Parts: sequence; structure tokens; C-alpha cells
Amino acid sequence: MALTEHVIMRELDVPNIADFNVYLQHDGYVAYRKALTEMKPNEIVQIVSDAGLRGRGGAGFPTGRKWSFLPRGVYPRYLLCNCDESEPGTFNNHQIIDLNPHQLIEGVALSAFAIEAETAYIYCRGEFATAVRTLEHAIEQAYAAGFLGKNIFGTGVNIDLYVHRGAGAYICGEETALMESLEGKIGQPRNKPPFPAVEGLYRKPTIINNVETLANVPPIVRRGVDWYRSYGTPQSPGTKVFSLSGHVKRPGNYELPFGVPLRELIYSPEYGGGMQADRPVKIIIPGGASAPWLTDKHLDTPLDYESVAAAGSMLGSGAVMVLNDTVSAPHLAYKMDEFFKHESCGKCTPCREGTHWLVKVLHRFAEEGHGRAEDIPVLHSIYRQMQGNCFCLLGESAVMPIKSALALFPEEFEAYVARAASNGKGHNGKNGHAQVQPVIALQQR
Amino acid sequence: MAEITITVDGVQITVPDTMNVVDAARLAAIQIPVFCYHPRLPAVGMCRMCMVAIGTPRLDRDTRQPVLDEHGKPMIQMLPKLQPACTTRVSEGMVVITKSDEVKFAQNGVLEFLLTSHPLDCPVCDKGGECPLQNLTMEWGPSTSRFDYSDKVHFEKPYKLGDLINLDRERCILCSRCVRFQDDLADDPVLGFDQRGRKWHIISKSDPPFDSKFSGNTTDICPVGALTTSDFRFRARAWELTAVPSLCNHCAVGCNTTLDMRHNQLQRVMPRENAAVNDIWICDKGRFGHRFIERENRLTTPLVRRDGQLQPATWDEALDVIATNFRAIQATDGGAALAGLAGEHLANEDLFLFQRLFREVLGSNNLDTRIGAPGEYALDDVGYQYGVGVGTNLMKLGKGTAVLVFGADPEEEAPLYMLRLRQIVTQGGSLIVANPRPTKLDRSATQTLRYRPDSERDVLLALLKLVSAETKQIPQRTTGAAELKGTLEQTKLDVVAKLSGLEQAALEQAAQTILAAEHLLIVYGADVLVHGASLSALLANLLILRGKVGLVNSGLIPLLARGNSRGALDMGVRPDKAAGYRPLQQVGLTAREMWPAALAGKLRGMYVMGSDPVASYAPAQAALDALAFLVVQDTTLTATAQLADVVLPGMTVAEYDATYTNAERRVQRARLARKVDDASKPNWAIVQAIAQAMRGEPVLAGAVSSETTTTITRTVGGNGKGGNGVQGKLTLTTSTASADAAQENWDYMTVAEVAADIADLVPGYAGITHTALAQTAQTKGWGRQANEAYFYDGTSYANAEGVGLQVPSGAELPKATFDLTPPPATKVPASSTYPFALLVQTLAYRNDPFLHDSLLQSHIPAGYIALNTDDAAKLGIAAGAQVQLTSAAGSLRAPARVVADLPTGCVLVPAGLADLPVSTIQTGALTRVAVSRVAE
Amino acid sequence: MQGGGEKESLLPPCKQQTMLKATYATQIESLLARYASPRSVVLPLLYMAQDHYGHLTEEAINEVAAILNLPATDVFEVVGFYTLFYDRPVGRWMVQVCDDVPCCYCGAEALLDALKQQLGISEEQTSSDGMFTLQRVKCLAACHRPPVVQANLSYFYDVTAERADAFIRFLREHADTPQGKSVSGFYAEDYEPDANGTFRQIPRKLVAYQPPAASNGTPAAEPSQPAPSEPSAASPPETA
Ligand SMILES: Cc1cc2nc3c(=O)[nH]c(=O)nc-3n(C[C@H](O)[C@H](O)[C@H](O)COP(=O)(O)O)c2cc1C
Ligand code: SF4
Ligand code: FES
Repeated sequence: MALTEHVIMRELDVPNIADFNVYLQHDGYVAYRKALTEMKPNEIVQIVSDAGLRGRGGAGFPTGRKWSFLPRGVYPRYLLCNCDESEPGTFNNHQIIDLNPHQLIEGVALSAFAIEAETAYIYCRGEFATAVRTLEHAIEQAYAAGFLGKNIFGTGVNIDLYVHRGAGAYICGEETALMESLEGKIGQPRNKPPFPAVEGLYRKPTIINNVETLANVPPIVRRGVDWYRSYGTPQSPGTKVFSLSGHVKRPGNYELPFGVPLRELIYSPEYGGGMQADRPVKIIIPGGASAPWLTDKHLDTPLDYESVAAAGSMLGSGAVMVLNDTVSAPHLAYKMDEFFKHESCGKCTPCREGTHWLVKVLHRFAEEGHGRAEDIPVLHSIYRQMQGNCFCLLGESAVMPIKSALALFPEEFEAYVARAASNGKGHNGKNGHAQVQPVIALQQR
Repeated sequence: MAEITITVDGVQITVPDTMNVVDAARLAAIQIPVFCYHPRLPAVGMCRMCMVAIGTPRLDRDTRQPVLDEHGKPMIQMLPKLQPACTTRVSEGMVVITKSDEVKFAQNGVLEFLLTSHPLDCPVCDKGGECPLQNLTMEWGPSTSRFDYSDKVHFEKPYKLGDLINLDRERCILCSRCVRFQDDLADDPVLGFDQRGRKWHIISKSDPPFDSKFSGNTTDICPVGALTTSDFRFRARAWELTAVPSLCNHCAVGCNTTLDMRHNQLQRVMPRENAAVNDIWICDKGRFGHRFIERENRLTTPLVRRDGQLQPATWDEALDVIATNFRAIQATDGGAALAGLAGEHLANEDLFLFQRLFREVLGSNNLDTRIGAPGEYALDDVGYQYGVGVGTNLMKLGKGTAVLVFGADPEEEAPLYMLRLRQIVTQGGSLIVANPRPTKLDRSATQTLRYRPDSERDVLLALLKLVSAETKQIPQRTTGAAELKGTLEQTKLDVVAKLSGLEQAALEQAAQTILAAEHLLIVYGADVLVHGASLSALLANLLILRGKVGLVNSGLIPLLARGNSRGALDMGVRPDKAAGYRPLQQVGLTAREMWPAALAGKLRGMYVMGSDPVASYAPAQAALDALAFLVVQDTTLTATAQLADVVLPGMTVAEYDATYTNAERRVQRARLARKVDDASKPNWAIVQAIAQAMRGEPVLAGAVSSETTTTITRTVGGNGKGGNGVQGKLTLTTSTASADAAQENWDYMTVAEVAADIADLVPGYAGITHTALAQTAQTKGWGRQANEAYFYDGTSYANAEGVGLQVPSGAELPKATFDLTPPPATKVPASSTYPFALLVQTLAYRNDPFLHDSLLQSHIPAGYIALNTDDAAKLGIAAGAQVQLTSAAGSLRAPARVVADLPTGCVLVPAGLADLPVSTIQTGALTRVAVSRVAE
Repeated sequence: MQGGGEKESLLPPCKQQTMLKATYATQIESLLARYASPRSVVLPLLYMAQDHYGHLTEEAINEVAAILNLPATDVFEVVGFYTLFYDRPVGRWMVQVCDDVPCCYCGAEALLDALKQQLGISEEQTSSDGMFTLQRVKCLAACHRPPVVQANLSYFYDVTAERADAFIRFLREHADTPQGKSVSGFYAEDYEPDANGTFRQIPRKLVAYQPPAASNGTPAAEPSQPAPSEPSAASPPETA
């Protein structure tokens, strides 16, 4: 079921909505003007709470609740929009900026008003040089139109919005690391408590939200709670921009109401269009690299926070990676953990050393094409030594790929071991791609 | 701060609610292993070694009351995952489990992880034997590694982080203790991390690298052998060392140290914990600046001048020559023709007997610890009279404390105070730093006052005026109130503001801080000490008006020149007062007066002990040459000793037992660490030998170790430095001979007997005997607790010797009176011939004989003359150009340094540099100079 | 003592260079105004320095530290931590190939092999003509158009191994454009292959703002021009 109208991807309904004039002609900044001229900050927090908007950055935390954690009467406050988007498989924030930037700017400004922040920053990952230029240009337009700056609409409200560009570090998506980075330091996470809402950027109360989260705010304020809740499920209201990638025919961003089954996203001709060469689905990672894996057994899982959790994974950032049967599970775990190893900031021991060791052992399986019997319990042990003991969620996330691979495809690890035993070291497969076909063929699924 | 009760492994303990779980468990003698956590540093929770299971009482949703189980006990809900104990604060009813399988698995796991990167090079690692990683691996770690890759982190092995500290990046476990120490405690943020993930490693990009006066401390708190000192690297294994309690004598802080000896050789100097003095730190001067002890050119026998040459002689011969000559001078010109100079680093016992020798045997009050150079510190009696009260402990101060630092640069003059004062600010205290030029402490200050040179007195009067306006009642036993009032009436705030360049509001703000303080500490240094009482008395007046005299945690702290400067004043090595500040009828010559007297033939004989006037004040040479007879006692053949008729070999602090009194009047004891030649005598025994020779008595065979000495023998491989470590054989010698008898007869057998005499005869020192000093080691609540070497291992040593005893300040004595009378102004009028004010900067690293042969030698800067940017422009002086300074006394040349933050109208010159003898142009406390460019 | 610095301080003495500060004075001022702490300007300033000097030399890093009055070590830390700061010489084009999931399963390895062969270098190396530095990087957030490559942070989509040749050719031809000259990506654009297999720029959809009165009632169905590439506050003007 396609949406008749999009909440976020409005470029599909209104061509060229990235154009400021087009955006203005299609209700652009209407919610914002109404909020500043007619409403109190509190009322907006209430609307967002009532709408049941949940954070799209990964945890699905209710946005209104998060905003209400701000200590009363402590100023200045900051709003940070998280556009670090660096987790493998996620790419919708980038597209929102490219195709509908003013909705994001309106959302950030409106949310800044709601939490009484006079300064907001959009933190973009360093690689988003184009998006940074687009945003800066759009922000200039908003300033020129008097939507940002001092005494907006003559209400006495001041809101400044700046883009801050990172410089290549996934960890800076973690909210406290983001603040460190914005303060000009290396991006390593801070201890919590104190939580950012109490002591964040420059030790002032700070709210951090994802790009998609904040882009949801103007439509909610403009169209109302009931309209918003008419999409999705009671617990996961609204729509979600799913980033679909991997071995599907039509990878891309698709905005769907929460609750649409995975199968539809993957197979509907309007969305994924089915699997390339019509090969079978083997592994689905439904929420970015840090989500536990699902398999073809879970194709009927509805895509909402609760259902995906019930299936044993998490919806996370809504990045759905679908991989076919040519992919070996140890290799996928290897690639994923290579990512986490590359991005580990080094602050805590389990993540720094654990990811390294995991990659070391997995390399033997996935790249050298063989394994040793004693490697398998070691892999189990390494992730258990990491799980629950890392400083931040990056390390905890690194556990998921290997844990999933071992739980779902133990026989693939054993097959590598068996082959190593039977023909010396086994072949020198590379890339875990077609070359490892024989191993995968062992498990007729 | 509320007390709460928690349960750790079934043991209930009550602890302050501000504590973290590691510290709380420690109170129940339960060890939670840590690497990144250090009790003196902010907790960061990065190594994850301290993971434990933590539960809190389940609360009823509505009532917020704990839910009770069937036994009426609160139900505990364990958190879903393990928590780091170091960053988790205790809360009421918390239950902590440190020994479950889950916890063990996690801790074992972290150690296994750490060892996947760490080289197993313990046999060649300096930390071996005192390494927390070794110790924790024994107790909590895996016995084998499953990481069977040859893929440890690899870096170039020894890497000089600076010339003092080496970094072995392979060994580093990335705990960031060193970085946090430098950032948060030392305020020298010169360490950081490069790269990230497993490639993360320590770097230092300051210029020069690792530019900090506290760098050595990082080697103590490093939990592995990653950071080592160039001074100790590969010298000895930790378990071969005998750690002898000692003191650092370089400055007035009096840091407690150990001299770690092997085969009678000094291997390294380590801090010894003393919360009230140096906590667990020492500065680099203390750590690296003790190589003078083993200088190759140490004197071992007396020398007597024969045929114009100094030649080895026996003690008998040397003493005989001395006695004969002194007696002859006494006979012809009287005792007043004799004079003595003594160094301020010498022990109380040395100095006490020195002045006794002069006053009782030679009959002279011509005594001084100074050398008579212009611009020297005046005798600081105010600092004794109004010094901080007995029991003062800077460690405990924070909120409610105001510190005024006036005319002082603690980082250079008494480095450890820098850490202590910063800690007070960290703990919530206020810090006002008032100086004519920037100092590093400014960065930590809550307020800085940058006054113009020569406006000090006006600034202080303005502060007094503001404070007295709010003072309802002048405290009792106070004199001089009317005189002060008169002076203050003439003090106009706007005029002062103009004179000093300070905003009136800034003065008001400072006064408010002083008025609001519960504890008021005033620290002053070189810029005040050169002026003597004329400024320090005004600082004291602030205390008197605020009623903060003679009280714990309030008072003056003068940053005197050396480790026993206070002791020297207490002992009466001065022309005007006897020991204990008792006024004398007949006042002797000051050092400054001695030189002309010698040249005039009025002064004919001198005894110079541990002082080298010729080296730092050229005019002394001619005067000494003019003497009939000169005795010099020192450890090497100094420039002064080369002029002597008899040279006596002195001892260093390492070689005999004795006591020293620090800036806060804490008497502390150093122990014999290094045995010298059997024929050698401690300094005090030499003085006594001269006295005996003068009296025609047989020379006492004053052996070095006439007293049983204490050493701390460390147990090998264990936690020898812990409080439960072997205390060594603590044999105390008390003087059996009665003090009176000793005094009469000059027959002290042991240094303890001299100390006993001091206790009897010097007011304030009553009760401060060696026995009493040793007993302070048993004081409860000091330092580390039992069984926690793991916590501090590799760090400073536990204090088994004693933490010292404070002598009461004058104000604490019964019937003390407080004088508000403002001393007269001593302005040096501005002059058009000499338009610039000369600021003289005391440097920690200067041309000091005690730093010779140490690694610090290369840290002594070349001389320069610093000028303000605008002044330099006006005079057409570019940076690096030769500049000449001319005063009424002389002139001096050096390259210019052009700086932005020096006030206009002054030049700054570092003192004590070999190539820049600033005393040659000084005319007094404040010197005015002309500045000119030297034509190429 | 270091000579020559009119801003030298009594403590701590720090080296001063004035190049960046003089060249980008207005940008630096405007950046400083954005943040409560000057230290926040470290990243933007390092990007500027990197473009100005080609890469971040020790002197450049010290210069940034001096401008912001920060301990040098703190700035070196930052340079080491973030992957987009290059403290070593790099080619005119920094070619960064995503090898992460999903790109790696959609042709990234084949592309890397092709590029290595084309350029005769391996990863982390620079071609002898100084034109290209090749790097493997992690997910570039364009997983729907694999394999994805960034060159001086301009996106290139759908760069299959067969298109490696066209891709390299495109970069060579465009070496002297602003995109080619800014290794920090101040002028980055997005590119995709067209039907002939050559790369072309994807127009950005922003247009200049027109005051509401003028645009009233005029439906702007067509996007006007792609946004001009004039430098914004965070980007240095061209310094060629
Ligand atoms: C390692 C790590 C990386 C993250 N990266 C991002 C990111 O790129 N974008 C994002 O919005 N949230 C990211 N998050 C989640 C954020 O920390 C934070 O929860 C989120 O921005 C909150 O926004 P929301 O409430 O709108 O979801 C990351 C978290 C972790 C632990
Ligand atoms: S050098 Fe030592 S103190 Fe510093 S991070 Fe490494 S292990 Fe920790
Ligand atoms: S994490 Fe607590 S000691 Fe390191």
C-alpha cells in the first residue's frame, strides 16, 4: 500500500520541493509561523508527545518524552540535529537534505522553539560535503526570509541555526561523542549521567534528535495529532523512511507507514521489487549494522518497533539490508565487525580490543577460507566479554553481527572448520563472495 | 554530604553519598580492580576493569518507598548488566557484588583483552615488581592467552616523550591517567592521544615536548611500564631498592620523598604520601634534581691551606687550625670580628648549633642565611607571626576558602603549591591571583588582579580599606588600629585604581571574596619577600581585620626560598634575633653589612656553612679575600670554598638524620640514606666539633651514624608500599642526656639530642622531638588503607616515617598580640633616567648548584630580557636583539624577548642564570632601569 | 626563545604564523561567532588549513592551535582521530571507495581491483603523477547506488568496475576545477553515469530565494538553475 501523501518524502508529491519558493507555496513554514506567533513552546512539546513521535536515530525513544527531560529554567539550551548517518545501510537523512531541505530546517527551528533553545546545530558527517553546501544555502534563504535570526516574525523569539561538519568518525553519531566533536575535541563518548538533557553541549541542557525525527515535526504541528496517528500502529505512529539496500532489484528510500510487513518492502514492485535474479533471501538486517539479523523466516514481520523487537531484532534506524544466499554468514559478520573495528574510538578496552580480536579470528574464516575448531568457542567468548561491558553502544553493536552469525548459521562456521581439516588449509577464498559458494551449498536451506 | 548504607559482598558499610563504588568498597577492605580509575583523578570509566554487579532497592511506583520481601527486607533489583564501579555513585540500600562468576568473567575478560595488546616483556620492564597490570593479572587475570596471533601493537620501542620521560607505546594500556593528570591536576595539557581504536597512542606536541614541571608524576600513576623516567630507566629492579624516607629541600614546600637506594647508590627519588604537604606528588625538581648527592667532586676530607694551596688534612689538624685562628681573632678584635653565613637548606640541628657556636662560643651575632646581594628576600617574621594555624590541611579546603596569591609565582617558586591551590579551586574555593605580570596560576584563578609594579602597597591599602569598612569589630589584643585607620583615611580608591591600573570594581570584588571567606589563606612570594614586612604586614592586616589569625586553615603562607628557610629563621641564624624570634640586645651584622666590614678590616674571620656567596654575588669575593681567616663547609669545592683557609666536607640531606621546617612550619624528618666515608660527619657534628675545639676539648669522634637509623625494607613481590607493608625496624633513639647538660658541654651524642635541645630551648618547638615526629606515622586517617597497593601501586610510597608536626605560629602563642600599624611606605621614586621597573622572576630551573649533574640542567633557559610589545616598538627593539639594561648600580646585556602580556613600563629578567647576573644591577627591592638597544 | 612573534606571551611561548588568519580573517570571525567556545572552530579551521596547504603539515596544525589559542597537542589529537584530515601529502583527488556492506556485495571489490590496476597503485598510495590517492573507506551512506566512490568528497554513484575507466578519465579532465582543488570538499558535487557511461553532475535543486511578493502565485514547477557554487561562510574562497 503506497501512501497517498508523504510526510517526509514530499518531493514525491510536490516536485522540486527543495526549491524554497515551491516549499513556501506548499505550506512551507506555516507550522513554524503558527507556532511562533500563536503557540507556547509547551504546547508543541505536548503535540509531539501526543502524536507519539519516536526518535528515528535508532532507539525509537519518544521525542516528546525526551524533550520533557530538560531541567526547568536552565538556559541557554541547545538543539542538535544528528545527521552523522554513518552506519552501514543508512542513507535517508542525506536524501532528506538533498530533496527536501527546508522541511528539515523548519523542523529544527520549530523544535528549537519548542525546547526554548536559541541555538541549534545540524551536525553532518564530514563526508556529506554536498549536503552541507545544500543546507548552508537553504539556511541562508531561511535567514534572508526572516525565519531565522533575531526577533523572528516580530515575536521576540531568536533562533540561530548552523551546520557543523564532522570529519569522518561514525562514533560522532553517538550523542555525547557528537557533543565532544562539536566542542572541537576528539569524538569520544562521555559518561552518562549526566544526560545531555541536563548537561550537554558546553555543559548546558541539550536535546539531540535525528534528521528524520525533526523533519516529522512540522507536518505534525500543521496537520495535527489525529492525522499523524492515522498512519502506522498505535505504538509506532506515523511513517518511516526505510533505506532498502542489498540484493534487491530496486534499492532506495521508501516511506511507508509503520507496520508494513518486510515482505512488502522487499517484494512489492513499488519498493524493492524483489530479489536480484530472484535468488532467495538469506539474511535481513532490519535496522542498520547494529541490529541482530533476521532470516527469510521473518519476512512477514511488520516493520514497527514492537514487532521487529518481538522477532528478536530491532528496527533501529530503519536501514533494511537484504542479502541473498551467495553471502556467507561468517563473511558478513567479518565485514560488519571490520566496520566496527574501524570505527572503534579506542576509549574502552572491550570494544577496542574485542573488535580487533573478532576481526582477526573472522578473517581466518571469511578471507582465508578455513577455521579451527577452537576458534568457535573463542568467538563466543569474545562477544560475551564485550556484551554489556562496553562504554557505549558502538561496542555493544559490534556484538550483534557475530552473535547473530553464530546463532543462526553455526553450521557455516563448522563447515569452514571441517574443510580446513579435510584439505589442509582449505582454499584461499576472497571477499566471501562467489568464491565461498561451496561452503554455502552445504546448507540446503 | 549525607551518609548512606550500602552492602558490598554482604558487608554493610556506611559511607558518604558522594563516593563511588570503588572507594566505598575499599572502606570495607574489598578490592575492586581498577586501571583507569585513580583516587586523585576524575573517574572516566574507560578501562572497564572495575565491572561489578550492582543492585538497588526496588521502589514502589506510587509511594517511592522500597518494596519489602517476606522477611521485611527491601527487595533488591539487580541492574540488567554489570556496571563500572568507578563511575557509579553509591546510593542508599545499594547492593554490590564483586565476586560472582559473572563479575569474574567480565574482569578476566578485560584483562585478557588488555594482554592481547600488551607485550610480555616484564623481565626488562622497569615497572616489573611494582606493576598493577602484573598484580591484577595474578589475581584476576587469565593464566593463558587464547589470542594466538603475533599481532600485538607495534611501535618504535623507547620513545622520548620529552627528555625526562620515555614512552613505550606498546606497553600503554590507554587508561589516560597521564593525560588526565596533566590536564586536570597539573594544568599543563601537553599530553594527548593520536589516532583512534587500537592504534590510539599517547603523544606530546608541546614545544619542548612534555613541557611540564610535574611530568614525573605520570610515571608513578601509569599502571604499566609505558612511562618511565630517563633518570631511573634500566637502573635497578624495584625489589632491590631500599626506600629511605627523606625530604626535598629545593623549595619551601618540603615534599616528602623516599630516596630509593641500592648498594648505597641513589637510584631514584619517589614521592612519599603526606596529604598536608605534597599529597602523593612531587615536582620534577624534587624527582630529578637530587643527583647533587652523588656528584663526583664531593669533598671527603678536610682541606687546609698550606703554601697557598688547599691540601688534604686530618680532622684534628683542620679543627686545630680553625680553633687557633678564631681564638686569635677573638683575642685581638673580639667576637664581633667573626661572622657566619649558613645555607637555608641545612637542617634545624645544623643551624641551631651554628648560631649557638657563634653566640655562646665565639661571641658574635654576625649571622645570616643571606649573602647580602641587593634584591634578596628580607627576613620574614610576619610569615611566622601570622602563618597558617596548626592543623591546616590544604587538601581539605575548597568551598568556603578564599586564597589570595600576592606577588608570587607558585609554579616557579614552590611548584607543588600550584597543584594544591588548583585543588582548592577544584573543590569549590576562590582563588585571587594578584601579580604585576601573568603567571600560570592565573588560568586557575577565579579572579586575577594585574597591578602595576610599585603599586603593591596601594593595592593592599585599598583592599584593607574595603575590608575594614565592613569590619564591625576589631579583634581583641590588637594594637595599631588607629594608625591603620589614619592611613586608610588617606587612601582613596579612585587614586589607587589609577596608580595600579586596576578597576575599582575589581578591587571591590576581591574584597568581597575576602570578606565572604570562612578560611582565608594568603600566599605571597618573591615580589613581597624582597620588600620584607612593608608588604607582608599589610597582608597580615587583612587577616587581623577578618579575625583569621592563629586559626586552622587560615593565615599566611610565604613561599620562602628553600626547604628549611623557615627553620633557619626559627633557629635564629640571623643578626637580630635569637632562636624563637627572641629579640637581641646587641644586634649583629647582616650579610649585606659584612662585606664592607670585611673590606674595612672590621670583620676578620668567617665561617661559611653551605653557602656560596661568591658564585652569585661577585662583590663578596673581594670581601672574603680581605679576611684574615675563612672556613668554608660544603659538599664540593665551591667558588667560595676556593678562597678558604680551611675547607670542611659537609653532608647532603641524604647522608644524615635531621629535621627541617617547611613554609607552613611543619617540622619533618629526613633519614640517613647514603653512608659516606667513615671519617665524615654530619654538618651539626662538625659545628659541635669546632665548638669543642674552641673550648679546648677533645674532638668528639662524631660518627655519622651515632644513632640507629631507620630504613624501610620493602618486601619483595608484594605490596611493600602499602600501609600494611613492612614498616621496617623502627628503632627510636631518645636522648638520655639531659638537654641542659648537653647544652653546657657540647657533648651531643646523637642528632636526637640536638633536636631535644631545640624542643627545650626554642619557643614553639616544645614537644617536637624525633620520637614525637615518628609517632605521627601512626596518625589515623592518613593515606592509603590496608591491602590496597593495587590502588596506588607504582605510585608514591606510603608514609611510614611520619607526617611531621607543625610549630605554632606566633599568633597562636598565649598572649600573642596583633599589630595593625601599617609599615611606612618604601617607594622607589620613578625617574626619568631610569624609566623602567625591573621585574625579577624566580625560576624553578635556574643555575642552582643543587641542579648540577641532573637532567634538569638542559631546562635552564638562556638569559633574556623580556619587554612589552609596545615598549619594544617605541625603543625600536626587535625580538632577539641585544638589549642593555642600566641601573644606578650597573648594566647588563641579553637578547630581547618581546611579549604581549607584560605590562608596559617594565622589563622582566629571570634571576639566577649564569649568563645574566641580575644582582649586579639591582639596587634594592625595586630597581629602576633604562633600556637601550645595543648597536650591532 | 623564539623571535619574531609580536604576539608572543610570557607563558606559554607559542609559535605564531599569520597566513591562515590573514587570508581567512572574515570567515574565521564569522565561525567564531557561531559557538560558545572558540575550540568548536577547530574542525572547520582544519578543513581550511588542509585546503590551503594541500594537507595538514605540522606547521599548519600548530597554526590552527595558535589561532584558537589551544595547546598544540589538542589539535594534533583531533587531526589523528578523524579520517578526513590528512597529515601526509595526498593526491589531487582523494579517491575513497566504500567497501562496506552492502557495497562490498555489489561490486566494490571488483571496482577496487580495477582502480588499482588503472592507477598502478594500491590502497593508501598516491599515483606517481600526484593525481590520485586511493583509499578504502567505510559506508558512505549511499547504499542504494553501489558501488559508491567519493573523490574529494564529491559523490560518484554506480561506479561499477566497467566504469572505472570513465571515472578516472572524468577526474583527470576535471582536475583543475574547484572540486579538484579542494581536498576538503568545499566544492563537492554529486555525479552519476549517464546512458553513455560518462559521468555527469546531478543538479542540486536549490534556487535563489525570491521574496514572497514577487513569487506570489507563480508556481515554480521547474527548478531554476543549480545552486551557484559560491563559497559560504565555512568555505574558504578559492586560492588557486
Ligand atoms: C555509535 C552510535 C552511532 C550513532 N549514529 C547515529 C547517527 O548517525 N544518526 C542518528 O540520528 N543517531 C545516531 N545514533 C543515535 C544517537 O545517539 C541518538 O540516540 C539519536 O540521535 C537520538 O535521536 P532520536 O531521538 O531522534 O532518535 C548513534 C548511536 C550510536 C551509539
Ligand atoms: S601511558 Fe600509562 S597512564 Fe598513560 S594512558 Fe597509557 S597506560 Fe595509561
Ligand atoms: S572503568 Fe572503572 S577503573 Fe577503569
